[in-house]
Amino acid sequence: MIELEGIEKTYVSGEVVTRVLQGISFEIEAGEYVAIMGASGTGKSTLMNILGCLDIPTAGHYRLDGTDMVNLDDEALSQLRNRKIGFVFQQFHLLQRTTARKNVLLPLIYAEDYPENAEEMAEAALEMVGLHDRIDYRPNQLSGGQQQRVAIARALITNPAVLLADEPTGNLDRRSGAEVMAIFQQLSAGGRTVILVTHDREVAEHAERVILLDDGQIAEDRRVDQPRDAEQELTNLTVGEEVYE
Amino acid sequence: MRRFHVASEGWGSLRANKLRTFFMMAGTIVGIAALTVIMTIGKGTERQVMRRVENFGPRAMMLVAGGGRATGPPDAQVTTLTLADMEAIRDKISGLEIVTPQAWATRTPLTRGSAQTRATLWGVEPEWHAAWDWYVAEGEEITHEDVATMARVCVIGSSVKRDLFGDEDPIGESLYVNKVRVTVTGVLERRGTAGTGGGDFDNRILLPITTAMRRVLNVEHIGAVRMITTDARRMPEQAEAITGLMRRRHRITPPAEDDFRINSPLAVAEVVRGTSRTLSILLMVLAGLSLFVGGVVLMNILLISVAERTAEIGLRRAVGATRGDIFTQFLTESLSVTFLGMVVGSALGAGVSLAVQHLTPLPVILSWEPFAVGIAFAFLVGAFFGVQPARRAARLPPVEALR
Ligand SMILES: Nc1ncnc2c1ncn2[C@@H]1O[C@H](COP(=O)(O)OP(=O)(O)O)[C@@H](O)[C@H]1O
Ligand SMILES: [Mg+2]
Repeated sequence: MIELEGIEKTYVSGEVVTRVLQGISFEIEAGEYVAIMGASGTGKSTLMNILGCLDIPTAGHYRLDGTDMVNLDDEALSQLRNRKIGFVFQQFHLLQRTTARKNVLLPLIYAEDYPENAEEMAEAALEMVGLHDRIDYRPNQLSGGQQQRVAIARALITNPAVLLADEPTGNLDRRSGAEVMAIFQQLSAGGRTVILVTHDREVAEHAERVILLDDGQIAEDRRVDQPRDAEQELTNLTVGEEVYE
Repeated sequence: MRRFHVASEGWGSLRANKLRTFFMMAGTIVGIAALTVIMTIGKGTERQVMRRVENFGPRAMMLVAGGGRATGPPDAQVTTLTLADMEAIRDKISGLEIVTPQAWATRTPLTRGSAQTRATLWGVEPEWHAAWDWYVAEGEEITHEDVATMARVCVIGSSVKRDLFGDEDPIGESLYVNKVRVTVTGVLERRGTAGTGGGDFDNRILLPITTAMRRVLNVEHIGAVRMITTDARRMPEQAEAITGLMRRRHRITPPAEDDFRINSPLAVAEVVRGTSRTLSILLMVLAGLSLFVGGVVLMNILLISVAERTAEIGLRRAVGATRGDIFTQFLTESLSVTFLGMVVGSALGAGVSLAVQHLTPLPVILSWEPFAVGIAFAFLVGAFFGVQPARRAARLPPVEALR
């Protein structure tokens, strides 16, 4: 479903040439749960932005569901993002002073047809991430974990082909992070393609496959024999808390 | 439909930041309010100009005794305008349908038994009626025979009739003008008041000009010459010819001030417009300044807002907003501000206009036109000053906006 072929990304500012991605090629099948891992500054976010059609590679080809996005214009790329891609960011990027419900239905505003039952769709998406009792809360009335779950609901409302998450647990405590990872595993089990970007090996090993980036190139691409079970970790955390108390 | 939803995203941040929205609107409010007041006063003034020109006579000119100002009644102490001047105009100036003299005295005491009043006295010829398009409602006009025989007759205005005769029929009754007894032969049609600062048109008494000059006022000069031209377009040229003729007859060379003046509909309109002109110019400056400064403030607040909302813009792009959608959102925000400001400003302007109407003699007419002009200006200001911030927001590369 995702085919990358010799993807390069080079930034030129004045005399300085930064070759961030230096020929990345891989394929991801529909329904896979893949982690893109690597140290900070190795080009993970750059790669994810290209995968999300937010940025265009300097060279190479990227086919999403068969369409090569390299030659598309702004409008077509925007439409592609709206229809096929759900983003989750480290900083949540929720609109402040706006309720969870309105945040979640934002992608529908940019859809070709605004569905009549947008509000109900938003409620259903929030229910799916366990926030049915926070529907009309604003971001500043929610914890970090809850905010990230609102962001996940927002990413899912258009029923995208791919969920892209860039360091989704980076700003969260262990427990909230585990909750987010549990949701991703649920989604993956339900057949959704999930691509997770992280610098953290522990987080990456929740996925079924890990692509290791080093200095703009693929250093390793391997299956994870025993993916970590986020649900189990959550239970352990809870037990730990009970003992502690 | 998609457009509508995208555009309506532009209202959200206005409602969320009410104080900021108010600062963005302030200039538009003041500017549109000032524009509204200019237009209501302008329309009132033009209506008054039309009425005054109608009253004066669209084809009429007046040669009036006394120089140094544009309008008003003859100067009582100027005694240089004579019947001979009037005859000279009749002889030498072409294209005049009527040329008729008027002797004049202000606040002349009139008595009938114990009833008394004061009224403007005019000594006239029968042509006066045609020259003013003003005829008797009851009785008879002044005749050529009355003038020839210095008849002791008069035609009175309706206010004089009311003050001296009440509900009685005045025709054939007599009254005293400066101790001279005259008989009322007619009552003029009502004309009412003359608008801003104008006196009561109906508080007047007409005598045959000979009777007025010889029997009542005992003077050799007249107050004015009333003229009706055959062609209104010739008026400026005729006025110039009359000025030349009069200067020659009165031996006046230009640095010296004229002892006469010529009134025309143009001069009348000029005087009426003059009263509101200063205010209108001030308001125009205020409107222009407010709209411009307000627009610049609006633009800068929007630019700051674009900078503050970089992440929001990036996020919107990530979930599917095109550059055009972002442009639409910010332009809608700008236009919403100016339209809201326009509504408030129009209401404020209408309120101020009503206050002006009640508190000053300036004429004011409320109508839909200021509202239409307000909409046009709201659109212009909102679009002009909103384009740059909207374009900047639309051009943000999504990747950088999200960093
Ligand atoms: N616009 C840019 N201009 C120049 N260099 C950039 C630009 N964007 C990213 N980079 C560089 O690309 C490298 C990879 O960045 P990024 O993809 O964010 O890494 P990661 O997400 O793995 O931490 C970094 O060294 C960064 O400095
Ligand atoms: Mg990164």
